Amino acid sequence: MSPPSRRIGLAVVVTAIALGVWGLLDTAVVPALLALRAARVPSPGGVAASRVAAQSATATTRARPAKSGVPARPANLPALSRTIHHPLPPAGTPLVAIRADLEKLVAQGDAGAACRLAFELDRCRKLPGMRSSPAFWQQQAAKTNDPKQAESLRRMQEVVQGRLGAAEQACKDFPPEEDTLLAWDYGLASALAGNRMALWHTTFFPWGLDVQHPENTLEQWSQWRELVPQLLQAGVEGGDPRLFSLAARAYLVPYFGMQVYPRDPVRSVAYLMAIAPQAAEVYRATMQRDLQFAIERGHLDAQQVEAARAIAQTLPPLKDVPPGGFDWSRGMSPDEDGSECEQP
Amino acid sequence: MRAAMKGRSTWLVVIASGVLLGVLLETVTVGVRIATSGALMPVQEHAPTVANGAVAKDVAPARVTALGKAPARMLALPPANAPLASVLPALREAGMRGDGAAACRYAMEVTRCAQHARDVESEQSMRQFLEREKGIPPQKREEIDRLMAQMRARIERDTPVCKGVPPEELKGAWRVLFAAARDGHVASMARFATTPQLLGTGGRLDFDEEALAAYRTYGLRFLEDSARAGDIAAIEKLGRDSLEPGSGTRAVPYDPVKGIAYLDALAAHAAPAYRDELSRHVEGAIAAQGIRAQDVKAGEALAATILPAWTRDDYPKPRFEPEDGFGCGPGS
Repeated sequence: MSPPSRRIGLAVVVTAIALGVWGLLDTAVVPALLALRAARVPSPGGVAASRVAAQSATATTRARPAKSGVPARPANLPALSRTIHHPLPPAGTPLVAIRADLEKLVAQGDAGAACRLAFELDRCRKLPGMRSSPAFWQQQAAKTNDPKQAESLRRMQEVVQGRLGAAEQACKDFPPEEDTLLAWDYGLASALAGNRMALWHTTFFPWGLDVQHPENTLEQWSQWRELVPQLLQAGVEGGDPRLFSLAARAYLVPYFGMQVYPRDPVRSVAYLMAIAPQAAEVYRATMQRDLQFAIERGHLDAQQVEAARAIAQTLPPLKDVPPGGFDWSRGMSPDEDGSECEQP
Repeated sequence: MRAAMKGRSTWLVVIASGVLLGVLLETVTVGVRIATSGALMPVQEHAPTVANGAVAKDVAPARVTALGKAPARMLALPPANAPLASVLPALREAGMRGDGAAACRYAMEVTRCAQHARDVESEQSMRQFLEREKGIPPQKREEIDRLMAQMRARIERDTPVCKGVPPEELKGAWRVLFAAARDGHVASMARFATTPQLLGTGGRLDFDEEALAAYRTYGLRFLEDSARAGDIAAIEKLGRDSLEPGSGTRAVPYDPVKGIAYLDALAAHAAPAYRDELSRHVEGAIAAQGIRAQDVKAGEALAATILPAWTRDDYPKPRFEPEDGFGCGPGS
């Protein structure tokens, strides 16, 4: 048994240590732990939000038609040129067999090869979703009692069935978990080099971008918003009637949630007027109806219609229109197989 | 004398030990509170606040700490379909103060008025289209007329409600809902994560990039928490998104086993029409993606345990209408 004074002394020492620990916890450790914990809790919206917001602010300042030409290439993309072109593999060759070769051509600056890679990666990304598409159109055709509508739906079914068959062949053995976001990068790089097919797709329905779940490709959508006014302008200057049609829409209503150009119904009608004479015989009535609708929708008076006609005369000339004129009855690009990328 | 001294020192030892024990207990308590709650603030408990299509669960309500916020004073919410112009500021303010039900109601009312503006525009376009297109087949015309009638009914219902709501109010409503969701209001979590019109991802794709970034960061947590609390829309979205392949930075990771589990679990307790819809979706995904038989079986097995107990077997597809408080929970 130890003497009482030693026991008292021991108790005092232990108490002092405990109080010291408490003091330390109270004054230093607890605030430090809380600060550490607070640092782990992201601020509202998180870092991504602020970064995207910053990009968005940039987009706002740049979202107006470029004076001319193609915008500057973002730094993360390879420098390509449409003047560098090599023969590309035959359409329908499985991507796993041609990917390495296409990548080599891209490294040499071939914009057509980048376009083809984007096309192939994008269709392999969409393949699982495409598989249910023919059945959908078949069901729609079966539902209707109107023979004309049923015929039109069956044609649609044939188009998607054909696309599905081609995609199954081209994506054979392509790993489904492959990150196909590269489709956007390749497509954009090719479009920025002025490739006609890439300009059309990057603007109209961007390769690699997720429409159903835009959050998955948020940074890429942000890039699209920033660049689309200038890409569309470049496509119009390249004389692609499809992009004239898209520009007509962009001057009227938001596109993928973005008012690409300031609303201008007169200019919108002018773009349609510029392409209407080049419509194929079978499509001319539809084109005229669309034009008339645009005039009515924009509430254009006779003077404004004349103004639109005058603007139409000043727009760039159309190029590479098929000999009989364009026919969009089955869509603007129903039979694409990737070979279109070879056209600079 | 010795005995008296011995007795005193024993008391001193007892007192010192008591002090020591108290200090140690306090130290342990502080440690535990740091580890479990993340802050030395009072823990605010939210009752499960899922209204429409909710499953009353035998699970504990979400325990969430409202960092730095005093418990919210609840605003008496306006009745369904009350004119909004005069009440929206109060709803927004209450929502920003931490009243989850007010925040949720505010965001959903604003979303309704944004939709109203689109309805008015769409109806005008449709009328012009119908005047222009004379040869529409009768069956198609019937379908258009049905949709037009629905739109007209919505316009008639919402015109007096949304009259005078300033257009600037229609922007940024997601922030109020998001703040409530982050503070742990379960219905706000669910509505934030399952209302495409609010995030701008429904159809027109007029998304706010910041809102979408917030969804990408917090969406999974909000969906899982509200699914556990029994929000049917959250369960369905978790299932569908888990079952949908796609690249990029996803809010909900691709996980076909979990996707099948969520949708099968829900289908087993859904009303017949809703059950058919869910089952068709699962079967379609299995066929289209070539999901392996062992993954299908794993999903079916997981369906039994992925969610807490169910109390009903006839859940209809959730639709969030003003009369149901937009699924914002009791009192909304």
